[in-house]
Amino acid sequence: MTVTTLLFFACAALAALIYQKLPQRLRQPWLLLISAAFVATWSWQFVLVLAVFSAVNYALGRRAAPPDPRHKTWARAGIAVNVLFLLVFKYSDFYLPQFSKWLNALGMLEPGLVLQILLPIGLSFLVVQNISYLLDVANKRLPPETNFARFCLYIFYFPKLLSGPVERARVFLPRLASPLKVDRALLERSASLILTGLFRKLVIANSLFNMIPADAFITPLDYPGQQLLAWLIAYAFAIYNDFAGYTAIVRGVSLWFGIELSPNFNLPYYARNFTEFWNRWHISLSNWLRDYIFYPLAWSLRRRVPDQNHVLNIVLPPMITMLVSGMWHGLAWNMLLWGGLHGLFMVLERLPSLKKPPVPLNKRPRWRQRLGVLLTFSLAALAWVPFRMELPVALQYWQGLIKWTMPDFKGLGLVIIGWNPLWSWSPLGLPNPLLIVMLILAITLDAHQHRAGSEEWLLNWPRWAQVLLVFALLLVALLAFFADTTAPFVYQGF
Amino acid sequence: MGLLIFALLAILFEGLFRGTRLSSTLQLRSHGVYHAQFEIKWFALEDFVQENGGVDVILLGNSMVNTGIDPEILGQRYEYRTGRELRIFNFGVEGLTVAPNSALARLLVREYHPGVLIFVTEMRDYTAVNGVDIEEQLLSDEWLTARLGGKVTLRAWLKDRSFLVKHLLPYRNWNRADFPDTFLQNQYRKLATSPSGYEADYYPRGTAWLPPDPADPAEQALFSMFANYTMDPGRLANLADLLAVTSEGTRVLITELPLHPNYFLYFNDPAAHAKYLEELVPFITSRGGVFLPPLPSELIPDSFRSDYYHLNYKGAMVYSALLADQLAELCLNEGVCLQPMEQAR
Repeated sequence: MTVTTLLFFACAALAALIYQKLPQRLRQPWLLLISAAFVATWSWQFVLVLAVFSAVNYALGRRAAPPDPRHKTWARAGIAVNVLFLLVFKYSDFYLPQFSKWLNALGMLEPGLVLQILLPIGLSFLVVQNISYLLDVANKRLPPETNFARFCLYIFYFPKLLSGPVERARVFLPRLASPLKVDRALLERSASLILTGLFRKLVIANSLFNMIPADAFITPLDYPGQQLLAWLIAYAFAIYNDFAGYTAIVRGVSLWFGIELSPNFNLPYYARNFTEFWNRWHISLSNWLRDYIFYPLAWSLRRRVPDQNHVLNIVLPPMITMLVSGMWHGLAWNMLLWGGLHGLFMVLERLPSLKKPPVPLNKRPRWRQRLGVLLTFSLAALAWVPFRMELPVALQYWQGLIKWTMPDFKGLGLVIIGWNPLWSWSPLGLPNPLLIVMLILAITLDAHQHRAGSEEWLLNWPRWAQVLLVFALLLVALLAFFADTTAPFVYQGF
Repeated sequence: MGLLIFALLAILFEGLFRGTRLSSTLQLRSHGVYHAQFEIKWFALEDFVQENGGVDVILLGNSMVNTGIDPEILGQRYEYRTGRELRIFNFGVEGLTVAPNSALARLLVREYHPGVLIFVTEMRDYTAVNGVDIEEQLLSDEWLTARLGGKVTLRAWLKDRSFLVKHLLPYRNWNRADFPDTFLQNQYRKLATSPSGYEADYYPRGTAWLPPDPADPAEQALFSMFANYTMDPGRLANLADLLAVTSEGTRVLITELPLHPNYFLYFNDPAAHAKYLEELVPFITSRGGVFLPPLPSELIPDSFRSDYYHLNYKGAMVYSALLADQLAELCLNEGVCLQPMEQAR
């Protein structure tokens, strides 16, 4: 069940109503039950896999707690188990074909058959959550959870299960223990988040994804550079609105149960450099990477190389952190390149600090800040190329971006004056005008949020404007109901 | 509140479309079928019937029928020769072989009770691999499935019954990359289609006089498709289904457009066409159908053709008149006439 369907909202609303009526002691078991039911809508086998996953991590967490003299060893073993779990399920494409061949040769599997493993939903997100739990327990930041059902709920909790946010146990478990009071104000916040999320997903992200021709990312050299550029910008906004929309929806739904989930996006394309970008983009994962990869690595290096301006201290922590980020997204060369590029950008922006102390971003002249926004967006957009496509195609795409051809302005002119009928935009060498409209809409939405200073800006709108937005969303949802295809959330694949 | 206003407006527009002529005035309608030209023809026929009070003769077939027969000329000439005034509609749709046409024939007879169906067929119709994609796409469409008496889903029901949905459906793919282009082209084609369903081909191509080149990679698929031509039993079963509408009082006439002689070069066997007709004609006549032999191809000059199969607007003018003459002869000499819809009931 995906989170933009009417069925999801109906089921979640019903579950929340029952939740509110239940006595306190039954609320968490109820949440666990409906979360397991949500998982079962994808596949009942996933419930079993996640139950085993939870049991293993629960047991490891108990052993990873001090004062057990081997608690650090248990924590490391736990991390290894989680990584192995990820490798076994997520990267089965690498080893199963070969393994199947061996079984075929041994006669244990029918000739020609290849074993297949179902990838449990949200596995990458669950693995990083568990690693943080084990490390926090081992480092005495959190006592080990002693209630297995509650630990299972940390894993299974349905609003965050598919694609996060990546919640730390030390933040999430206390929120679970003392949920917010579900009153009118909270429900208005929830509605604001859900509506914004639906708008981002249904109106902006789906449209932009659909407006990019399927083969633009397969045979990019078939298209002129100006169209490739338009589609790359469209992709950058589409993937952002897709994920930010998803997060806003699940945060809003979670508020129906009085449970606050962490924000994940804060206008990333307003970032003035890459360090700021990663504080605004997929914030829960970025913070995880910062706390569990970047800082430990930086501190460990500083112990060995005390000079903070030493090249190792400048280069290694951001580069390794971003490479890990790339690998988390997918064990493929293109993802490594994506992570490596972000690492490189972060290294480059740290270089000037070798000569003079860096000026805080807010104290820089306005023009420099704006230039920083433009530069960061441009480089981030270019880095989306390997994120989206295989390495050889990504290279072709970059190559294609500089091969502009003159649009057929004469043809366009003849259309405008009514001399020629407008059969098609494509031969004119111009991007789909609807795509430009959607990009303007996406930029306007962010600008509005930027001015309002809050993701819940919709609460400040007059009632008639809120009604208009609901109306527009319903119309779009109705059209999507009848459309020939729909686009799934991109981050659901991780 | 937003939900309430949306529901109220939806009810208002539904009522407006139902209770006034707004629905037919606003030309943009759809049942959500992927085949855009099928929809153009479907709604054109609805309007035709509304305008004329019914339809007597429906021409069925593929794009050759679409661009090859002008019902206006056919009707006028037939009336001139026989004195019978008939309401004729061209339901030729691109890419439709005998398989989807048999389903369509059943549907059209059930909905409109025409007196006569004229199905224009040719050898490609009976090649199992030809037109399979379009056939599967069209026949698996949920609206058409429901309309043909199959499974009725909520979406199919809304697509069929709700006037509001019918007017929203043309925009259902509004955010797809190809939407502006396909939307514009569909509107253009809709305007180019006459009220009686004929779409003239004004674009000069005319390469029919060049024989197909076996070395041309684009032609090789056709050469291999027709190398050992036999009529597929499945497609013949479709033809039998189509002929079965005679049991409901609708007369079925089957003919073939005069194909360019170069077309037959795709077949290994120079007698392939004759053999095909030898098998086809008794199949039709034994099931209550009437076969009109194809007219000699020499009657249509090369410059009146778009390619080996299709006629351009000049060819359509000539052929429509010739077909009318052929039908008139059949009526006057053998008493097999085009009949008005009332006789089918």
